[in-house]
Amino acid sequence: MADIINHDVAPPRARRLAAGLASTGTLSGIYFGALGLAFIVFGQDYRVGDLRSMGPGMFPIAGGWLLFFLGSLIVITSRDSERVEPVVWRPLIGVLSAVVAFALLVETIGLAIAGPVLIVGVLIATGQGTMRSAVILSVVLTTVSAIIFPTLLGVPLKVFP
Amino acid sequence: MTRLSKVLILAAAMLAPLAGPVLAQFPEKPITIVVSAQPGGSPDILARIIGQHLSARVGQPVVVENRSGGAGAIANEHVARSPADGYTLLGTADSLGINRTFFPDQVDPFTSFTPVIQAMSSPQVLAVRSDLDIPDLQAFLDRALAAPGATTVAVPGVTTTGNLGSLMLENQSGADFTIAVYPSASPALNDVIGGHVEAIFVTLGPALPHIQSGALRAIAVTTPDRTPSLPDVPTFGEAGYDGMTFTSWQGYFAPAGTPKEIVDYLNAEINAVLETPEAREQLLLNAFDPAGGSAEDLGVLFREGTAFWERIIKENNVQLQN
Amino acid sequence: MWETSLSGLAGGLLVAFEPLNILTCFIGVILGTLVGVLPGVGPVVTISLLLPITFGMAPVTALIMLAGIYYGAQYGGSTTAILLKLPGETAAVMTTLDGNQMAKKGRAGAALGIAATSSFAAGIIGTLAVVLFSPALVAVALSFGPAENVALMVLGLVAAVMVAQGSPLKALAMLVAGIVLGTVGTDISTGVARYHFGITELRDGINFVVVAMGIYGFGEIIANLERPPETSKVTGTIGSVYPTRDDFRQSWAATLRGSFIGASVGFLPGLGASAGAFAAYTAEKKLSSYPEKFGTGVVEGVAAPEAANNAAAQTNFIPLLTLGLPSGAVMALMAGAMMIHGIVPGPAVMTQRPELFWGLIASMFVGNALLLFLNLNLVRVWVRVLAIPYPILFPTILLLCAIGIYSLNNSAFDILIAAVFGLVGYVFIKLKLEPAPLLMGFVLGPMLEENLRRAMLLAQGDASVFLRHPISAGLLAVAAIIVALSVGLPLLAKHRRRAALSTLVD
Repeated sequence: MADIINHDVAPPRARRLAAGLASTGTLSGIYFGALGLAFIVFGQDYRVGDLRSMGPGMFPIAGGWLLFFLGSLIVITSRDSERVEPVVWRPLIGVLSAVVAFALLVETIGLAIAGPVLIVGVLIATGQGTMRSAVILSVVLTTVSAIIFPTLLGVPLKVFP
Repeated sequence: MTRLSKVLILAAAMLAPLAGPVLAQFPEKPITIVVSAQPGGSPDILARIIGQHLSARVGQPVVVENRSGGAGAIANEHVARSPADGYTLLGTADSLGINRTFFPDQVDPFTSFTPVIQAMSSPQVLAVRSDLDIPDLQAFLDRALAAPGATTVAVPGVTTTGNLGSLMLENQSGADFTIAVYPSASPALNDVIGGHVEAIFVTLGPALPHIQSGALRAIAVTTPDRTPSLPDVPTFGEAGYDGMTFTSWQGYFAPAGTPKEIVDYLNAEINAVLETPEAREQLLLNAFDPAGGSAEDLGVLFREGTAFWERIIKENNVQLQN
Repeated sequence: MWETSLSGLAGGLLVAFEPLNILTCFIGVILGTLVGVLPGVGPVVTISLLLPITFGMAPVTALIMLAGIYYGAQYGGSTTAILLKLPGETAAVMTTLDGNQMAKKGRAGAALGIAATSSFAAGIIGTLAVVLFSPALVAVALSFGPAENVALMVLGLVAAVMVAQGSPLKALAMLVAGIVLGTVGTDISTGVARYHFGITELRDGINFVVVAMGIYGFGEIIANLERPPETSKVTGTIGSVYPTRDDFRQSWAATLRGSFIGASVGFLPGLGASAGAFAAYTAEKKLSSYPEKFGTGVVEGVAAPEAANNAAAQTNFIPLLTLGLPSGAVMALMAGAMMIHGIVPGPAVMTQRPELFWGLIASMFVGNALLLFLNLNLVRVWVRVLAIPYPILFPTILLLCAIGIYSLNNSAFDILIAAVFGLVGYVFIKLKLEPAPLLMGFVLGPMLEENLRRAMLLAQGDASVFLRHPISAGLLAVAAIIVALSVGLPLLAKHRRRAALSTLVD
């Protein structure tokens, strides 16, 4: 019986506590709990109603409570969940800001500017490839997209300012 | 004076009105009709039919742009912000006025748009499942009065005239329905035909094939006179409920400040379209009754209709913040 | 009934094989494939954009082309799902699970090939269902009222939890998270706009495609960029690019089952192809002798959902063609297309315009055959896509996603929402949370709520209505059995193991 217990499975107590907050289990649970709370709090204005005539608030608030409960349960029951790998900020911020820039530009200035901004921006931000390849790629992609979407498919996409 | 010079003078006189700088150039690029509907939806189909014929008349493409969402807010805002040069029009309906009451923080249609023309009107119809023993409106109401809450009516949305009409009918007859709200006409029709709901109060267009096939029995229409598609169905007025008479319409508006000459030109051209047999045939097939008239006519219809619905909404305490 | 069906079909084939109709069918399916491949742009957007082009055509020709776009998109949507874990279509979400895993293991060609052949088989089966069983199926479709829909949704949600990898508790939480996120927007029954925070665009809720693109498109890319470029690429396409005989042997049963499930679900109003794909995947996983391997790259995991979504795409036409009742957004567009061409959808179409009805159905056989040919030949091309260096590939995906999202509703705001979900997707990857249950909850939740409230309203608050209606009761019973088995069997096994261990010790 003794050799059934595998000492490698349970990490030393100290390390487990330290990994506690930054573990996938705990953070997941906190995330769900917070989301649930958000739906409960921001749903206060909506009528809940009764079973016959359920109001707009019933589903989201009930769901919010369920979510909060599940989130708490996850935090409590996650024992040996892994440590979360650290966040690498550069690609995250790079990609998101490039996409946001595209969104803000495409309706105002048009695809011809927004497209290259997205592509060049994301390549710079993530440090991939050379500047030259970025520019070439952005010109090619933007042109091809400008042909496919507005012309071929008829999407009302503004290309030039 | 020679005959030739008389002819030339006559020609010049006829062409003179076109010499106005604005009209000589309009339209010189495509015209866009913005509708708050998905492609295939009623406003979209109407705009495409009208647009097709209008385009042939004015020599420029007429494009339909779909910007659905926000109970019309997205389309309204887009057109309100567009240049008032006649190249962007709003294809809308009586819902423009209804939503003004429901969503006061939206763009105000009274100040943001100027009417161009009413394109069509369409009845709302109250229909019941044909397997139910309800031959007419009175039988329907008797049945509802006998068992409060037992009669179920499907409507295609909270802010639709179907829903508002059902509430009006409750008021005027004293009956108490259970009103089931659906996202649009199709799922509502689905459930009625499938036997899960007893009645439906909806625009005639989507319901017509099913009335004609016998699955549904129409018992009343909201137009002042009987509708050509259903000559045997009495109006609410005939059945004793004058208060249930109203016009559901669709028409076109331009951004406020659009020059009068352009509005008049568009009005004239679309009126002409509404007279052509091909266009009329296409419209009637979709249960659209061609309308027309002047821009002022639409303005009057719009204001009076909006006031009417505002009163109904307040009387029935239809709130969306509940 | 059978005689008229077959004679009608014969007439339809004559129509379908007219050169112009074959040509437009071909154009339609190519466009559909292209559109299915492009992230964000789906059949709804494409059909609506191409409606004007069909004006000059005869009605049947127009419908053939538009229909080709629809079921062609189902073929194309699986391509990006397999190659890039990016579902081009709602229904392709399930294909990402095993399909992408196969690609990562160098079996992209096999996955694409199986997807194409399963889709073809399913397309044929689905079209046969339309030919032979339309009247009966329509009757079933009509009998699904609010109560039955609720039971179906419950079954779907139970299945969604069962399907998930990893901890069921986390999957359940993701599901509920999806459900509450689905409540954002205007509540149908009361007209109240929920959780919109004053933003007009949020009044209509969040589009599923936006969420999927954000989580899978943006999120995955961000996570991939964390690792050095060489490891972000898919390794090698060594060996046979096409599926092996073993693959076919393993998956043909899954294809059949998936087709059957998809065909059954496709004609139910409001559900669409994605529900069929969910159900087929779950069923396959449950019936398999190695369920734990699902999600690691088994062919059945690709064959089943692909078959389901294609079969569903065919039977989706039934309510529209026989009754004039569109069963979803795409069908509503087809109805609109019919009306623009002067045909009023309704029960009369079948009898008054048989050449239209049968011609369209016959063209589905033609279209599916064309798609099989097309997609099998394209496998070689698609597989090359994986060899594109990531620094070129990922900006392309980003741009195509961004434009695709914009084209959904001409809204740049949607791109911003997708960016938010990109962050969310990244967080999910970091926290090792599987997104599929969230997406399923997002789709099924609002339908459940709408139908639940309506069912309760129509039943005057009497909850026993779900048990009094036979179909509803039956579906709920199935759901209960699934839950019981899924919870009970492992417990039973654990008990047995304990007993065995204790005998060992003694």
